[in-house]
Amino acid sequence: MKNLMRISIYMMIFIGLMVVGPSCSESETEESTSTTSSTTSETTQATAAPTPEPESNKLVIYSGRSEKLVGPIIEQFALTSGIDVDVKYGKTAEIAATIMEEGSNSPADLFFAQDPGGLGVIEANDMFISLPDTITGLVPDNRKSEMNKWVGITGRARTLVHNTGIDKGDLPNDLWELVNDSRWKGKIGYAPTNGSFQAMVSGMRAEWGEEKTEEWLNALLAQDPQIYPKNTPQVAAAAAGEIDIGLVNHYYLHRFLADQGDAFEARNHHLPAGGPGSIVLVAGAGVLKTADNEDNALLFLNYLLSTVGQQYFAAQTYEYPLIEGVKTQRILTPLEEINSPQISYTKMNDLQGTIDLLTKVGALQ
Amino acid sequence: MRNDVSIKTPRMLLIPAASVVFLSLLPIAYLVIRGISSFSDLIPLLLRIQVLFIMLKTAALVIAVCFSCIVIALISCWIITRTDLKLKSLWSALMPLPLVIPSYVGAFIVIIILGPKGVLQKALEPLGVSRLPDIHGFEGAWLTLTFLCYPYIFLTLKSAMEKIDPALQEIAQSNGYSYWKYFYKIELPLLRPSIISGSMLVILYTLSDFGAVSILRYQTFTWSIYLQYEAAFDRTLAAGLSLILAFIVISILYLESKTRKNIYYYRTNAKASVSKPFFRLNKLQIPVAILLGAILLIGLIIPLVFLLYLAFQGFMSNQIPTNLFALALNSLMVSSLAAMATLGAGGSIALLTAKFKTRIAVFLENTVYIGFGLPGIVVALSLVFFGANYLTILYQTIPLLIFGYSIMFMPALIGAFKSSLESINPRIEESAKILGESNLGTFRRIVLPLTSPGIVYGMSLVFLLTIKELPLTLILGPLDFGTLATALWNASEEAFFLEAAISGVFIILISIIPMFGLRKLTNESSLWTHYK
Repeated sequence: MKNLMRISIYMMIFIGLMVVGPSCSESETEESTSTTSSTTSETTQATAAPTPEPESNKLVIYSGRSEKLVGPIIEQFALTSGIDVDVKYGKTAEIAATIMEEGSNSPADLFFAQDPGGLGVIEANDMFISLPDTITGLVPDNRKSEMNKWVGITGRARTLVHNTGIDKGDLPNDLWELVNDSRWKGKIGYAPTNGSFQAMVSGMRAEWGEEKTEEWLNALLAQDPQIYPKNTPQVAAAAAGEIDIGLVNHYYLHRFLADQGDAFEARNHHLPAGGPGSIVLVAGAGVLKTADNEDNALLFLNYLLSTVGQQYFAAQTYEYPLIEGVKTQRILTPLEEINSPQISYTKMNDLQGTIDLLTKVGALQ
Repeated sequence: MRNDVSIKTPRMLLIPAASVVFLSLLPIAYLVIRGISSFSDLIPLLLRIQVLFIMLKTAALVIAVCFSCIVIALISCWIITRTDLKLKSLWSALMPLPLVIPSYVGAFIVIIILGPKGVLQKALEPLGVSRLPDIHGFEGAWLTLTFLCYPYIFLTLKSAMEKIDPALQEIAQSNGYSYWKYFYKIELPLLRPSIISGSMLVILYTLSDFGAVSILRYQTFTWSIYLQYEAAFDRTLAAGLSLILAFIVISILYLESKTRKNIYYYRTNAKASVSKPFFRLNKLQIPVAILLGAILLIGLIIPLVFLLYLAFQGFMSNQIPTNLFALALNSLMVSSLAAMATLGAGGSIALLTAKFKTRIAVFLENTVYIGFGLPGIVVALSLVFFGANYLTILYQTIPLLIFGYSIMFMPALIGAFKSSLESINPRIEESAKILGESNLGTFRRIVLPLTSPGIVYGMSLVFLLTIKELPLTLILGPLDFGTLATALWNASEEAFFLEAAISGVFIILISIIPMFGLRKLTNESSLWTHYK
């Protein structure tokens, strides 16, 4: 009898679910009819409301940088400006694809991207407005799009991270010494699927040409390098002695140092002879042509490039500030002392070519 | 199979089923729109990226994972249903639980433990092992996906094995069959549909998985599609590759429907299965328990203990995700809504295909399965395209997100619901109608109670799949909307692994709730059949 009671209780739950179930399916079919009807009524809707009333108190940010990195500064902006900010977080590439799919109906006002690649794609699709000089003038010419379609917000340098057990004098002078010296065989780490590594390879192709880049990649592979999914595990691996040297961005090390103190057994080594191994990449942002809140988006860009905004990044994310008058974190090598090549980001836009080359040499497979 | 008893108006089912199928074709429509412009570029690309090579690699992984899942599921189900193993109900509750571990979490833990300088190597250090062979690649992906996926087969197989009429064995043995000959010749063919329906989920899951294969660096088709999106920012070539993947999925589905035979899967007598002959394990009790324990150790206990350890450290160092409670509530909400909406959408298709095995029904069912075989990012971008441009009112709202989950996860529900529908003897429905019950009444009072375990099982699967889902949630979710999965991603992206582990533990804890509800229900229903 007890079982029968329990069974009947469960039955009631099911019937309850079935009541909800069909009502859901009704709404599904409603959706289906509205899908078809909306395609026909879309044109009428469009003429009825040609331009949506600009709501000056809003801002929609699509961020390819994670909430961990930029959430606090966005919140601070919302508080000081009184603007109601909505954010969509995701990976830079997926956000870029989303913006392109949304096309002229994109709710986004501003795209804040992790790397020039994502911005370059939106620029190439002609979806960014031209930014005013008052904003683009704040950063050096080589830290923004050539056409002023987007502007760099912070810089990060490609560098080598190494175990502290290695004598400073033994560290390579340039990328070629790294791949030609047999003492590093099996002891180099790299992340072939990582966007920053690929940007470095794009930089090599722009600076060295296709053939020489291929030669370098082949030499790197002959060193039997350890493969990592991204930068951070390489920094940890260098400290653990799993690798001697890793090809990374500069700032991951400083997060570990902040967390674990000076006892952490890895340091950065900026190549003295420079070249693409010391290229400086930027995270940047642009304002979309379809923005309903263009003024607020420009206000936000101004805020990111203000002393307050730049100090936030310098202190919290260990990136390089790009405007005059804001100091780099004391523990970082100043940007002026890094021997980085002057490659235009526009020249680095052929990402498919980079993927092809990495596939050809067998780094991606 | 022409059914002698049928629900009168298939049109009542056909119309909702067809409209659901129509909607679930949106991703394909999108891919065609996107890919068609790059059609001329596609051929050289296919040559360049060695599509054939990637296809073979993908096929190798899919076949290996599927095969090992079948082996694990068969052995563990056989032990649980056919022997006198002690603590059986505990085992059968625990065995499906690896299902709750997200593939990216599983892969992450595989690397930490089995990596060249991982936990295992540290433990073996005193023995002079300075480096383990690289787990990246095929071995790692195979191991991870096998232990995450075998429950899909375990669950369908176990209920099928419990339903097999013990009289069959008696008859076979009285005809001189040995047990194993009986098992191979009679029982296994009867179990085939449930093995196949579970395997389809395993195959499609493996095909569309990105989490495990990207962390373990094994280049499958889905991995290549993501590479086009993420590294090359090339939507058109990604769409071209996705179309090929869709074609592969359709071919697999077509082959699967060819293998279906018109067998009756229901029992014809009402005899309770109490007299089931058990294999006495005697001295083998402990070794057999160790065998099952080992499966659970790899698939559930090690990942869970490790995650709990990281999460504990996170709590101690106060690296707790902000709004943890709100995130958990969001996860719970979208997952429950997805489970209900998917039942609403998929129910009619399951009824249609179980009751009327016409060509059109099979076609509709196969079409719906495509969504599960496509990478999440493809489904997400297709709904961005249609949502932002043609359905602006619903764009970036919860209903559209739920709709996306339904498109992706409907096969999990349909498979479960359908197999329980197929196990009902139509004579029971017939009797109800003869006794004056209406169609709807028969459905409510006979079909529904008998299939409720299948429905709940299907809904639980959708719930589990939704709570772990990442790309769709990120891309299609409303602005400022976060779930535990997005919080986990956010934290691990910046290497805050302790914080990520806390989100991971909560995902698993919430996932376990429906798993236990599910167990209770299936137990009750087996009692229910005794009353018949």
